[in-house]
Amino acid sequence: MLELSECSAAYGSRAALSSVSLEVDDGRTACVVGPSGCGKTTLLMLAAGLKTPSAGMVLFDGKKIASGDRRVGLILQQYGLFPWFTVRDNVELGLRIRGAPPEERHCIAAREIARVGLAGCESLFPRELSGGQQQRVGIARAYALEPRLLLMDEPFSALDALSRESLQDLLLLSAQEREASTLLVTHSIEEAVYLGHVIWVLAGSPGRVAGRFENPRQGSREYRREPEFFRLCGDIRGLMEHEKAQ
Amino acid sequence: MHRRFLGLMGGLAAMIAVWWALSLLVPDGFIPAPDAVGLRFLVLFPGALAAHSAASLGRVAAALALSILTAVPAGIAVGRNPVLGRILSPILYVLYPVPKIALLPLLMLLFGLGDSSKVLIVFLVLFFQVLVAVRDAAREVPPQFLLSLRSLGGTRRHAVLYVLAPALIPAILSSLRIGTGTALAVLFFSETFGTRVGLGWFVMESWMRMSYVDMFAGILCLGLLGLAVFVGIDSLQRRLCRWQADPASMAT
Repeated sequence: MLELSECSAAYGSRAALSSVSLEVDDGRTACVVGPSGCGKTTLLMLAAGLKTPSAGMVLFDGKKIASGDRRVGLILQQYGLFPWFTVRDNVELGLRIRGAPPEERHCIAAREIARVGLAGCESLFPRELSGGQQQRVGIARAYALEPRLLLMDEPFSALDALSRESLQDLLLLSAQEREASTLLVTHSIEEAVYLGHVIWVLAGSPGRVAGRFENPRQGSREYRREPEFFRLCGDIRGLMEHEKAQ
Repeated sequence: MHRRFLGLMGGLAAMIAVWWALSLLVPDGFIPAPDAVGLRFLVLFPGALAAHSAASLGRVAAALALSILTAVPAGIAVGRNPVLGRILSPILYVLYPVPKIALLPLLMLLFGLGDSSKVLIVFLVLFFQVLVAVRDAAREVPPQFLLSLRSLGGTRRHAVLYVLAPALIPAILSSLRIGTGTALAVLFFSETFGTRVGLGWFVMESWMRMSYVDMFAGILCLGLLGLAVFVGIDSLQRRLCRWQADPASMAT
């Protein structure tokens, strides 16, 4: 379980987060939604151990998160893939850094690439792929390391509507198939409600937690078209608009 | 490929035409006709000219290797470390514009008249060119790449190996391409001192003998040497930068 307790963070003198507490239970997906500039990405950097909070603690299973923590995988919106490596080399990189032998690396990479539906694209470079395919490679690369927690920063926001939906479906399925828990940051309320067991609303600058929503109906592809889906989206939107008006 | 070949042929034909016209216009045979030079080149190259070219190419290659080995790590250090950057950049800006050829007498005093002072002077020309290019490119590597690498468990060594080095290769190669022109000019000048091998010596010696045909055969050879270096850099770029949108450059 990931726990952020009363975390604050700043860039120089500019505060980005103010006393944020949230948790992600094992095997569950939590989505953080909020407007631009509310510290969503900073929150992920804290969870990934890539930034140290100025106050508060970030714990995973009771132990402090460190930079390059093996239990955590990270997928960024852009530039996550290395353009100078082929799909296969990108997916293998984390394993190579960990010193996995070549046969094991090839085997895992082939499996993960196939799982995101890109078998046959192993030797292509990222520029030869569409945005959606690139993000699939990012997902394969993160899962190749079998993380206990997957962190995603606006992973689908640069994609067209259809690619975005098919990637959301892929992520929903992956999260159900695997044991990892997921923390996904997005500005799209619909994305958060489709994917998250729990939705956290972040607001203000510096960002703080404005609300927490349980989402028991999450988990099926039909949910996108059900009245409960739209009702929850409406509730969250209402809270965000209320926060913005203050 | 076909188109590139046609372009190369067209350029060559135009150059030869201008050369031919000049040889007819300039009196006293100061500029010999291309066919005479071409024939002389074919006669001289298998013997003397090949040895001179090899000597010059060896010096350029040593200087290229030395500049990459030193300027790339130095450029990464200056570009990625703000403190080093602040301290060293002003020094760099003072040294960079100094015409390196002005240092040749000093280098000859310190390192003798032999190959080492010639390699060093060419190295100095390339070093600053590569250093500045690598420094600027290293500053502009998007931080997301480094974050991604750290999240995969990468250390500083991995960052150099898997992010900085590949990200900087295009800048390194294009700085070499820019530097090679000046480097060859400086090499030529340095080869007129204290040696009897090298294209610089050959051209000046032919001039002393007033053998303009030999002199131009030497100049042609210098041109071809430059072409060989450029083709080498371009083919390296094609091999190493397949990931880029348009890695092929115009020279070949």
